[in-house]
Amino acid sequence: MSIGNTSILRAVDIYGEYVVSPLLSVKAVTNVILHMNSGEIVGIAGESGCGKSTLVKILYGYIEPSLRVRGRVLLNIDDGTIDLLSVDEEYKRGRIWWRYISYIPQNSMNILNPYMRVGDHFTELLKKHLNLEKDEAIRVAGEYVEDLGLRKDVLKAFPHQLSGGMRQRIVVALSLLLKPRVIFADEPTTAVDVVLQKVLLQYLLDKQKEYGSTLIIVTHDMSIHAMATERIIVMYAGHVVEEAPTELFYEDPKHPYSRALINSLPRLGDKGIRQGLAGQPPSLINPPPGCRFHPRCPYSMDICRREEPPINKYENGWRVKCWLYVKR
Amino acid sequence: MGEMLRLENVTKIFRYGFLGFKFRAVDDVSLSLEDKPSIFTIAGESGSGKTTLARLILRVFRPDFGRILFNGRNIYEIGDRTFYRNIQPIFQDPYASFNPMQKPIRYLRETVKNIVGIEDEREIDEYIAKTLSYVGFDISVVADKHQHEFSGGELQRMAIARALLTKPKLIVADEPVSMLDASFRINIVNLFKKIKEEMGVSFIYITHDLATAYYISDYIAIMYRGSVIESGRSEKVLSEPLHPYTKTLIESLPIPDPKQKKLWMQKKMAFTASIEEAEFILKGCRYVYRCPYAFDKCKTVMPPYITINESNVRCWLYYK
Repeated sequence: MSIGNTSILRAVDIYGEYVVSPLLSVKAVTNVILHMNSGEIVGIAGESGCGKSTLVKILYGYIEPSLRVRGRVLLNIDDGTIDLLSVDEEYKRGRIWWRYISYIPQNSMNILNPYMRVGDHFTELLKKHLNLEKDEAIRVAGEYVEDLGLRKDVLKAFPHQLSGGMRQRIVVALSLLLKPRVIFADEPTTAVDVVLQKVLLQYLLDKQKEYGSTLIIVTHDMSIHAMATERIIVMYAGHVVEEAPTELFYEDPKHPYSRALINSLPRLGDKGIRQGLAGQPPSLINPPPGCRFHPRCPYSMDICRREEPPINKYENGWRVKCWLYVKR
Repeated sequence: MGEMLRLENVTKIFRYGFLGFKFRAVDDVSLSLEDKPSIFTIAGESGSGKTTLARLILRVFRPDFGRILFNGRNIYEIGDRTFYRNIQPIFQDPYASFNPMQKPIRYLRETVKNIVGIEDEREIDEYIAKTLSYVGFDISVVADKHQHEFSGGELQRMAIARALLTKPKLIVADEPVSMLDASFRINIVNLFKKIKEEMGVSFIYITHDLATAYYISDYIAIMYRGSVIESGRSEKVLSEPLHPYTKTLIESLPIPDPKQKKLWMQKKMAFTASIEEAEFILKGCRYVYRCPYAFDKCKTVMPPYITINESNVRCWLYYK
């Protein structure tokens, strides 16, 4: 499968806010511009409440009431380009989701329908998208599950009869069933044991390589980003503050927030003193003027308090949203 | 040197349903904590029995077999006030530690009143103010705040302040940082270190996060399905693991450094679909279904504690 530098997904000027009342909204995602190439593994990092899950929902085109969105998400499919935020919902459900893009939501071990056997989740998908007959679908599902290293009787079980790790693995397998071009994984390995975490992550990466898909991993765990991703996007309070190649990023993060984040990570075999950040992220109902990180930033200057910094190119593919890197 | 806390063959049995099968959530655990400030980590995955062990030490559960000694006395023979003055808990979820209907400060005041035994309200507040300033709060700011006005990290600091009020010898912290973000997490962990060094408080730090365990703890015990399979000085155990389970755990731990990526990816993990319940009722070593080195004896007889360069390990591989 050809893996070139062809762009597959572009997000242009994305804004997303949760409407609480006509006068009040939580601005979860503000002014995000992104692009994803086909075949790459991108990580979205940030701490709780920074808008990373909302961003992924928008990129997937899954807009629930109370979330209001502006901007465009352009996805390349076989016959041209579509805007996920403006196409018809039925079209998205029938043609795009699962087949071109798939989404592993947070807490994925609890999203299987408790009234449906595991096998029915597979056959429903196969019948709907590939128009297979029931017997054929059961056979395909059986082979697929055996390939995962699970026994075929798993298909006859109800979700509650399986352990959390097995359910999580099945959800991951379901999302990869139709060989999607883009896979969004929102905290795919949180809440599972370390050993299982590695198993799941390796499975996901193996399949990504096999299908040549684009994989977008969203997690707060910086160790997973280091182990899995090629490019990393750091979010803070609804903004993308840094975007960089993973390997270079860990050596020398540019944004003061990213730097603090990396410096706060303890490592096995290193007892050196680590420091965290003081203060807490701003309220997204009334975000502070200027740079949203300035109240906690050790380098904050006058301009940081007044004006929002632009997101600037630092090097190839490295972008930073900070006044420190703006030449004036 | 004396021992502050000593667990002797502690076992706790739980039962599924009324006539359901019994399993040992904590099985024959013996540990000891010497009488000097130190941080003792109990590490393990979910379902390893680490929280049950914490609750046994806190007298929430009574052990079915074995006993727990604090300064040489069985914890069930110590009076309530003395017990809570010496041993204090910190829990995982800071939002659940405080009643949302009341101001968190009230919980602190009650602790002082009931356990420290100060009656006068002005004195109570003076007493609290000292401890609060130690963890970085100003009493005039936090006294009027409700639970929802604190962030998770701040509430956890309130919980630590509350535990410190009684000037305890031992704090049992059950996953105190697992709900917090990385940048807050390290602040709390640093605070533990500071408390240990400056106030001479010992900690039992229960966690699944081996990186923070390595960072702060002096001793560590690794649990698997109810039994302690390896224990010793934390540097020793985490840098030269002996038990196959400890080795697997450390190998599968992701490292926040992309340079290690290749090495990490090379070590493949196999997916095991063994049944957890079956592991609990095994007679032999609980790790036998997953262990690559397992032989017949492992299935039938539980390995004894074996001491190898200062670490205790329970594995037949090291039996001579």
